[in-house]
Amino acid sequence: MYSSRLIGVGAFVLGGAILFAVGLFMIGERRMLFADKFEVYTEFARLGGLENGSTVRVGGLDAGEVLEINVPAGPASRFRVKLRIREDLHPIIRTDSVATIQTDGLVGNKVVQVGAGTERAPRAPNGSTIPSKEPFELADLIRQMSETVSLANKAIVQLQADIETVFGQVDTTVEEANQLIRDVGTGVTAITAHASRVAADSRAIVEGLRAGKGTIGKLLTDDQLYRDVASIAKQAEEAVTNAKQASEEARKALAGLRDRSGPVQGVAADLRQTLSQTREVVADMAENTEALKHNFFFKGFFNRRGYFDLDEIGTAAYRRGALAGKDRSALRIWVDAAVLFAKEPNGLQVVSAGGKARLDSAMAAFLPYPPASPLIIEGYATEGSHDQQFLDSRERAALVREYVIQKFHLNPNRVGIMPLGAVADGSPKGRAWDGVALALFVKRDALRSPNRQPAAAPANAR
Amino acid sequence: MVELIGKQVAAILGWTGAVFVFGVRALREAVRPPFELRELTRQVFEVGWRSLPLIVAAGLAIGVVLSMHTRASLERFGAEALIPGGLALALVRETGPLVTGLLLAGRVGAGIGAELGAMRVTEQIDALEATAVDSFKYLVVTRILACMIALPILTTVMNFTGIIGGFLAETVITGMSFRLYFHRAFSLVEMTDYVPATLKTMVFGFIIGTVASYLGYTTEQGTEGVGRASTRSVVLASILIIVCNVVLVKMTFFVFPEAAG
Repeated sequence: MYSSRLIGVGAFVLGGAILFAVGLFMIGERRMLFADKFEVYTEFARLGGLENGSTVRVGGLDAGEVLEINVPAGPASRFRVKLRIREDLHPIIRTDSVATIQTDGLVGNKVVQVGAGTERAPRAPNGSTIPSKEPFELADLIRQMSETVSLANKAIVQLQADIETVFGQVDTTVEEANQLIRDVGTGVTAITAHASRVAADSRAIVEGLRAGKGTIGKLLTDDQLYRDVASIAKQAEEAVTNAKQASEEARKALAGLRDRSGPVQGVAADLRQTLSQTREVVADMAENTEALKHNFFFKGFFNRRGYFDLDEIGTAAYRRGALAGKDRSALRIWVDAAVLFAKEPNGLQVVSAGGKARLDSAMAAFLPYPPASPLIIEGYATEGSHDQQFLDSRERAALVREYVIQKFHLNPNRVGIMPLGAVADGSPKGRAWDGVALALFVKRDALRSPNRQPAAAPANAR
Repeated sequence: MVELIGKQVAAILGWTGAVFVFGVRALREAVRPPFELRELTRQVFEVGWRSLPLIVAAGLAIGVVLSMHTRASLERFGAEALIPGGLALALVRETGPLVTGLLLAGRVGAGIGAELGAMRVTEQIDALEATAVDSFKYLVVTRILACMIALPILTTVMNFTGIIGGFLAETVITGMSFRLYFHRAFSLVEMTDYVPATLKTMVFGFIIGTVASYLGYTTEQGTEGVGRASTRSVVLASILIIVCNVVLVKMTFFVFPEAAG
């Protein structure tokens, strides 16, 4: 029998050797030292930090490593990268598989991602070269954002120019319309004058006939009188024709203003298109900035702040204390709807003069605290159905928010609204409240700050 | 003053030379029969097996602490996925070997210094010599070899228990499976990180065994000398391990340039 000491030493040495071998095996397995492999090449103009031994992924699966990077012979050539890939993935590496350089996570190493090829392309032979796509870097994203902003600027400048053109064309059109009306007016005046003369002459003739101062024969034989009458009739006809033509032109001009191909419509269409493009650009920018907020560079700031966007906090989360958290306390000032709001003759609810004074007083109590503290206007309403209460409370909160932002020049991103219906835990009237509450979420260390005025502490002031 | 400094420098150089000659002699004797396998086994048992609880406990604690620190740093960048890899890399490359060396210098260095010192003071070594036993080969060489054998194994144990400690800390927070954690832990570790760092602890073992044995083997001035030998063994072995580590790391980078990346 072996002694326990020998068994212990044996276990110690053997166990240690096995553990060491496990480590070797884990590293070897990752480096694909024990698997069949094949090699392909790809080329990049920029490596973006890729190096020998970097991981190669096929369809997101770790599949090999970068074996070799050959430096280009001249500026026109590209870096030639040799990839070693697991043989069992060979069936999906086709001649049209595209290799790209990506970052493993945001701060991780560079990896080569090889996409699966298409069915119609043949399998990439060992030692062949597959196509590549240049790496996308953060600098490119920033450049694209810069281009987007530039595009938006151009769109706005173009919009301004279009609006000026529209006003110019409208001006011209109005001027032409006025001229047209003036021309038509002149024609109508001439017609009236000629008609008056015709009527006067006709009346004189009839009166002459009645008075026996001439005869029908004289009328018939008097050429001058005949020519006068004919001329008058012709002029009247011309005047009527002119008037018709003028009115026709005016009608056409007005129709042109309403027509899709008219100058105003053309400008309006341009305006609509420009606005639409600008809206898309701004929406893209909003998405980009939203994505940037969650990016590792910036999300730490928002995490420390406690929220990404006040609009993202729902009523239930708010009631659970999403903003209060472990390091903030809420200071709340309750304002009654009877003091705060008045109704205009048209039925619209507005903040009354007394309400504004009350809000100014409430805000004065908040001003000593750090301006970065989020301010939430909680809306409450007790009348009507549950839905109506919610709608009313939201409208009230929105009215007050608009007022305090304008009056105290607050950062809109720091001021939110929270429609809470009728239920108001901790309100001066118990569990319900009709009006609003201004809730300022102040960091606890700011509350303890010695330079704060004790008299300004407004917690649950009414 | 200059004379005093000169004497001190000469004493340090003399001591270093004596330890070096002592170590070289031990290495030379190690390859010459007889090999004293029974005593070597006993020493491996004492140095290695009996140090396992200390190394396992320290490894687990270091793994937990490193995991928490790594999480706090990488979480800011949203790179939590790198925690296992970063922890394993830190353990395998430096923390595991160095901490194991220092712990062994404390536990074993003091033991060897005191044991050999006591034997010298009580004339047991002289008695061994009188019975025609080569005391240097029997007492010193076996201890140095035991340290050189035990250190790499204990370092490997320290590395793996550290990774397990990191897993325990990680799974409490994220619920990550052991398989995934273990896979990720070795995602950043290369052969050039793992093998040289583990094998360099043989040098640490040599330093611990040589310094402690020298101080114990050459003890003078009775029991007071035994205590001094024990204390100085720990202090000098620890300092030499830390200093030698710098040289060994530099040599590793020179031989395996990719390990510096």
